[in-house]
Amino acid sequence: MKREQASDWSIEFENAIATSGLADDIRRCISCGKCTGVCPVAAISPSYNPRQIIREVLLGNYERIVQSEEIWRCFWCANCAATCPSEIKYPLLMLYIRYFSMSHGAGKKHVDPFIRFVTKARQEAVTFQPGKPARLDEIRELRSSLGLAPLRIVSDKGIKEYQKLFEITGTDEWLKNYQETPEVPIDLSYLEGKILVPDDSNSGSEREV
Amino acid sequence: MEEYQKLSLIDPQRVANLPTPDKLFLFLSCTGSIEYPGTERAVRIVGEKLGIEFIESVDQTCCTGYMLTCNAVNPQLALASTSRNLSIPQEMGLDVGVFCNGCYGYLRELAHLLHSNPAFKEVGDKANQALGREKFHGHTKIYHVQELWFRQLEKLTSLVKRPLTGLKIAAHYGCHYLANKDVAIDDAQYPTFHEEIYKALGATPVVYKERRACCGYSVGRGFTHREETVLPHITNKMLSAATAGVQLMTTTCPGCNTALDREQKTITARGNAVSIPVIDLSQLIAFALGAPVEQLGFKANTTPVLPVLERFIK
Repeated sequence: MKREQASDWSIEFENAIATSGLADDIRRCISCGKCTGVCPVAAISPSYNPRQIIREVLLGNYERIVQSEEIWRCFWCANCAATCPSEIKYPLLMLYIRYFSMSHGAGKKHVDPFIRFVTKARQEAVTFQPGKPARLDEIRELRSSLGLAPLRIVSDKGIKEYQKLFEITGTDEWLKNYQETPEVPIDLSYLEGKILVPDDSNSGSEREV
Repeated sequence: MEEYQKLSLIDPQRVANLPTPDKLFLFLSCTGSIEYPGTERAVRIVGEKLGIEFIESVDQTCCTGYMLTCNAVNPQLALASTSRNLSIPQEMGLDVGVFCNGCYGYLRELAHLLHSNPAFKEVGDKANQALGREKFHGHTKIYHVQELWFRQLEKLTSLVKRPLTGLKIAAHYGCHYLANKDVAIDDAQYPTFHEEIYKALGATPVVYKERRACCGYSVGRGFTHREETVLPHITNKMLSAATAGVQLMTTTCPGCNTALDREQKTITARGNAVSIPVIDLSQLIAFALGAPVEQLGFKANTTPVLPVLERFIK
């Protein structure tokens, strides 16, 4: 991991956020830190700091964000959004930053576990339907005993329409691209203002940059 | 234990503004249907008692919010499927009742994005057009059933068949409901309307320290960061509830219910014995209104529920 340079700075990130329509204008941030104070992840994992992440984005240090482990920690509980005096919807910013990071090939290890849900949902238009026959039988039995349909089934028409949405919104193509893009490893975590990366010479430990 | 009321910020005007519909479109939840089917049944039972008929549709698909927030699909897909799913109740001329905080939060947020950004609106409209459906106009209202139960609290109180006297119940509100702070009937920082419902059912509400803490399972962190942050977080939450003497916890989201109920097994195995049954608020209400207990699907729970409810069954 190279040391951070002034030349890493780019307005690209801030502009991308401003034009995404997804995340708010974070230039409203007054750095009060209330988001970090109410954050359950920051309470457990001290290197995670929402105020710092917003600051990094505003400072245009996008390489550091893209390769960061921190951006994947957010629970999306929106405590921060409920308390923010500038009414920034931080979870939506997080969602956007993650997509941005992925568009640079990073963060795959945090997205890969969900691709199987997508593949299954594309077939059934229901998420989380288990594959194991024994578990399915259990669900069938319980649901039938409650007077519900044995399984939550979406009609053929519904499934066909859902698959068509995958096609026309470009999601099929997006997924194909995702799977074909080579992975950029992420290993950057911030702790007490320092950047820590795994030390190659001594496996398992971390060194300061 | 009455102290929490001094801080209550329930907005009576907002509550009064909620409707008392006789017909609603029931938006089905994937997690609910699979993990805790009793919730779906309980919603119908309570609805029936309050004179609300729920209509569902086999054409309704997953809300796609989970896959969106796990960054596992193109955001356009979630926008298009929201537009499509909401065009179904629109066609029926019905408003929507949701019993999963996830579906509720995503539907509202995505419907808002669809109507605040012309580019997103076009994605939704194009999708509906390609499927031969009418455009989603955005006039369809989306309610969480818990609000509608609270709206008719007096009627609920008069219908109680099994007063839950002495049962210490605590709330887990769920972030995706509270995050909608502009529309919720209560204050997102200090909600108290579930406690009011427990009191109406004859139970004793308990306020515990980590009451406002989230379940940790949303956006898939239960898969990616389980050991690192999710388990320590849930352990804190459940131990704080146990310390406060909570006997039963309710949720309004099958996803939260999965996290708080199923993970107790692991927490106990790792040396922090905790056993607090977690059920849906609608299941609790249906039980207090006298619904046959075998209709409520408590079999699906990992932490046994019947030991704390048995004494109320005659």
